[in-house]
Amino acid sequence: MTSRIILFFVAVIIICACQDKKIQSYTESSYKKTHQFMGKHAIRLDSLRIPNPFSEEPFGNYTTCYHNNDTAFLVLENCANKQFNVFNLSDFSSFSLNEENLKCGQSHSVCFQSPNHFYKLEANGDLLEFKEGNYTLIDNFTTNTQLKYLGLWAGGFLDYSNNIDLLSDSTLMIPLDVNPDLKHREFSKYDYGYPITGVYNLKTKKISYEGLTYPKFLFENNYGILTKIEQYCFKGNILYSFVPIPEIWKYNHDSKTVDRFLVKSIFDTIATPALSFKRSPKTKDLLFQHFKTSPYYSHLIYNPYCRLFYRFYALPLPEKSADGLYTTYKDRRYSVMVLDEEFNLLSEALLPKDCFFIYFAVPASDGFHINYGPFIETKQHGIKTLRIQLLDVQ
Amino acid sequence: MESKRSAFSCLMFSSAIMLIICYPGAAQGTFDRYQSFVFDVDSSIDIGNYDKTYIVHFNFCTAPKYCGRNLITYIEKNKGKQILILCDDPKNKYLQKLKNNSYHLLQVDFLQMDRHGLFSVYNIEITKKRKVKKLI
Repeated sequence: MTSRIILFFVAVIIICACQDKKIQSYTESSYKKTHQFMGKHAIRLDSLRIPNPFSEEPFGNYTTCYHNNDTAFLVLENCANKQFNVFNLSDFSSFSLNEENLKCGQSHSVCFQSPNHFYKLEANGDLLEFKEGNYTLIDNFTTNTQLKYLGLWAGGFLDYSNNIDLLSDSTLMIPLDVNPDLKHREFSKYDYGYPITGVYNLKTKKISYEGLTYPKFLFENNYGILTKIEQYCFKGNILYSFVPIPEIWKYNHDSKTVDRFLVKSIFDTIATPALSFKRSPKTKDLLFQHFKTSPYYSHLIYNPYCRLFYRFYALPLPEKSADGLYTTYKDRRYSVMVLDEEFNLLSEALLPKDCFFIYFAVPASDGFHINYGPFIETKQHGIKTLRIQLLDVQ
Repeated sequence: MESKRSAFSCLMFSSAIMLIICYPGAAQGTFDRYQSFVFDVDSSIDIGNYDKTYIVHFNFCTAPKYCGRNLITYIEKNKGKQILILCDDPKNKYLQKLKNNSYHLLQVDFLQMDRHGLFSVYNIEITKKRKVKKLI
């Protein structure tokens, strides 16, 4: 009997040891308090219309934006002419960059340093540098042996939430995910604890793992399409903004610690529900319905010119509208939260009805710019944007 | 113990009967809603007159496997049938490849379909026998 008990404990210890193989090189600190300073500030919204002088309509779904010298720029793909059309959102001027390698409709992540210098990560894992009119292939992350060993990849589906960004002058932050195509891998998609942030040294061409590993709570609570973590560089540190919950986690590069902040919208009264069913090819309609109606947070953007953060909250959408018909994605309402550097909520405002989806969000010295409605018929009507400014209330 | 077992059997039996009775009714209701929606778009079209009706959402479903090659091959398996295709883009390149049957194309606004509770991420097949099937 005693030997059985000992054997049982040995088995438990072995199982626990196996589970602790995760890469975790940071410590989590307790929650940092955040406050709401509502009433001292107001949010001003201005709708702007930027003329589109280009002969072809842009392919609006695949965009990027950047800010340089106090000015915000929007970059749209021009598939017919194989160009990037670049719009200055402040003075309404525009120019184009020839992009012979443009693969229209394919996801990519672009990190602009200046109008003529950027890094680009393609879905096939190619990391390219564009400088003085020429592309140089820096690396390919699909064949990178370091990533292959762990079964991770950089590339795949790239969107605003997993963008590459410069962490320092010589290091690039690269979001990572588990590669489902690799058979022999250290980490599985059906697991947690794998690195989600890679730091790529542009000089030595070596990748290291920083910041958070895939958190256990997201593994245990399936939020369907909303199971996402946004990653951003902020003053040499990494910010993780969780889409289904109000929390923001700040990873400190020097102390290797993570501070957790609860950054809740004033409209957040219902928690995003976790899925009560298993994801399968037969439950796609239910999955989409969950995505369509559940509230969530998106885009945490820092404005260095005003030292403010902006974050969006998608309000829950009822299944049916007042007229008895079913609601659609066009009925979704968003609010914009303006936060200080400690994530205290300074003000929040509901966005107009036309802002039913946030395609881009970019800071400038004159405020913060987002799309005002979808990019359709831009040749005739130009590109409609919304400028968001925080005002002091006297 | 025996009475509990028989009560459980009765419950299972009655549930099965309920399912048999109710399920075709639900499918019938879905068919009627599709029929009514199409009638509102074009009053000259009754999906009940077609051997099969397909609903294809090209803008939403971009994968060539599900909305392109495989789907066209699947539709082409019908030989000599009257087929109605409801889609958001009747000029789609894959539709140009349809040859084996008699096809009628009707452009529909999927947002309106969504408002009527008929949106699905799947392509849909509706048969003359009023069966509504999701093409997974």
